[in-house]
Amino acid sequence: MPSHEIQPLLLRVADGDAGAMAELYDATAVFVFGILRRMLWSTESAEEVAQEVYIQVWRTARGYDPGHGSAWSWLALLTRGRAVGRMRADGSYRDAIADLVLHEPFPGPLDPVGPPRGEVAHLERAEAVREALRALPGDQRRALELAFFGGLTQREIAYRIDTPLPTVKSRIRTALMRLRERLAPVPEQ
Amino acid sequence: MIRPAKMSDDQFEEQAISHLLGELDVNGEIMFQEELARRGAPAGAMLREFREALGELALAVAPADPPPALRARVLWSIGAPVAAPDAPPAAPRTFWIWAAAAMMTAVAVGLGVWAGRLADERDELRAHVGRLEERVAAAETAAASSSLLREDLELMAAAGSTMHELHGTDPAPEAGGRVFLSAGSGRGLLIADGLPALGPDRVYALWAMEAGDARLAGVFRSDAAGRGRLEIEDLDLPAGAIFALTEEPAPGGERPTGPILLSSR
Repeated sequence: MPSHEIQPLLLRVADGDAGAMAELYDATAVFVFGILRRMLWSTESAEEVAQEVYIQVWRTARGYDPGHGSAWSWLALLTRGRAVGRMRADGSYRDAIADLVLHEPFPGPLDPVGPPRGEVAHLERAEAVREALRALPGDQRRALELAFFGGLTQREIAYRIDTPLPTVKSRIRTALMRLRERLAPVPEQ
Repeated sequence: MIRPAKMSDDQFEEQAISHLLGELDVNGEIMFQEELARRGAPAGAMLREFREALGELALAVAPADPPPALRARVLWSIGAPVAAPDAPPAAPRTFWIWAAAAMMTAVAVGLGVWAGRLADERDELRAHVGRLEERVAAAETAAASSSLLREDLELMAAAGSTMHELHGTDPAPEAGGRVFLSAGSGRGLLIADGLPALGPDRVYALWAMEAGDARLAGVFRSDAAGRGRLEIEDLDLPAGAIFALTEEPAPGGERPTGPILLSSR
């Protein structure tokens, strides 16, 4: 699922092409569903939110601007936003998920090792991302995972791990900058 | 609105991350967008790199096969020519909670008929159903608010969006607001605060005014804190037009009759 392959699909979806929407779903659903299951720790919730994600894609694809980023990053952040919305609808549920994120390194119990999905290039890229995450200092990785997958705000992270807010913000910023450095853009064919 | 001192590069990068994680409130988002515009292309490139890094981060998660029925439900929901899915597409979570609630009620009633000594359990189950209903309502409200804010921010951040600053006039010097317009779509958003309290039969009306012509962009009521929000649809803004906010008798008319409280001039 290289991003350059789904970008034309997303642009066709923006023009109201339902056939492109089906192709986009087929190309991305396993990744979107994987993110949601990791974040929500519930197959049922992941299924509900996945439906919301694709309906929002259909409704808001016109707002996607290739100049602002790749189609995948647009879809990934939209998916995360929907998942966080579901988490915030139930604070105690979110706390439980944050605990899981805090204490379960990748891969978590809902990320079983099974038959590989996707193309070799994608699998290699995914492993590179995991390797880059593992290479981060533990406090930076933890803060980044809590923010992205745990759905906590940086202020909530500071409270939860009993660390000053500026320190948390600095850890997340540094972690992202290190990820940027390690994951230099892959030339697209 | 109180403006913070000039941001350092580190602070701006932290704001960029907060923006991408959806942590900024409306005012924070406005200030971030202004700073982003002020810093120009290098800041845009930095934001894009952070966005890509977060997108890559999502790839760390193992892919997972969604239930096969989900595809049909998604395509059915957008009106694609597919057979109607077996399960209803909307609010399955609510459905299951209600189904569980209904089942528990039925069980509780059955126990009550069968043996009076189980009446207490029945009442407890009914109370549990009530609590479940309250949680469903609270969850739906929170989800709706979150979704609304995200849609607002998407419109503000959309490419080609323009912003029009509205200033309070003499009748409402504390009021202020901003109109965001999405290029070409006619869609927009007004965010206002500091508005005077409205009477029960009054509304605020937003107008696009140009050369003596006034086009109604929409009406709304403010909340108890004087904040207002209006979604604008299909507004064809003439060149040189200004925005003005007036107070009008509900439900609003075709021409402004009240004094101008906010103006983009």
